[in-house]
Amino acid sequence: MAGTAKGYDISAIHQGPGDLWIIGTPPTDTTQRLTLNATDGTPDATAHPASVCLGTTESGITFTIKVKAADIKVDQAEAPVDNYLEELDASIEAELSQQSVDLLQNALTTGVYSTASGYKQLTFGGISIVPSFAIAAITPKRTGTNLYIVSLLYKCNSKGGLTIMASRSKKSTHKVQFTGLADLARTVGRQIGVHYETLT
Amino acid sequence: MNKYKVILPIDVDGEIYQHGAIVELKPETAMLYRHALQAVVEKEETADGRNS
Repeated sequence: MAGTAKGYDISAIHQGPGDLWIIGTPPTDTTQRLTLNATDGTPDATAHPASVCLGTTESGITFTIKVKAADIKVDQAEAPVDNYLEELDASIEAELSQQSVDLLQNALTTGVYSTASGYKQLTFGGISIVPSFAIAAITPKRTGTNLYIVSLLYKCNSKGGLTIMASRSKKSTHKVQFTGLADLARTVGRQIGVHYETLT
Repeated sequence: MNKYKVILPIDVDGEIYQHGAIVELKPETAMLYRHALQAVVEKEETADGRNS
């Protein structure tokens, strides 16, 4: 009898820093994936105009998909007989180091940004609508030139607010957490986000 | 003047525009607020993008 291939693939072991992007004009339900610039992996300026890079990060970017499956138990069996999906939480988290006020607004999305000659400011208070937008973590592949790994939430909002610290001994950073929302206008099975790698 | 969809709240000359509002701004003003805006462009749905 023949054995079964183990499928070891070292190129599928990933390592390396990524960038966090607010995506202007997210992919449609049909296209699903970002159009990337072929040479640097940034969002294409025509397909995704007004995309904003959130700058340098203090440590890695974490993409999390948490699934809470509830058990269906019956009195006739000692183990669950089936499961159903109760919750699916997707999020992208990072600790960012650039703190220009426009970038801070992307963390405190309910703040109101204003600028004119000589200042940039973020006022806050009195707005209860929490803005939603698309966000992506784009990471170059360790083992392939111009190949990328992308984690994308089609519609998300920022949770956790903003903590700004000033210290002589530590440089400035602020943590951000973007939590995926279900976009009901999209097809079932792809309403929250996509994680993919490019092959060409 | 161009049309933009407000993604993040902005205060332009004392007027506050919240998430979801459609505003008309001069391109030079929109540049100052570009991180918070999305251009409203009438276009057909495109085919799958390159490198995707």
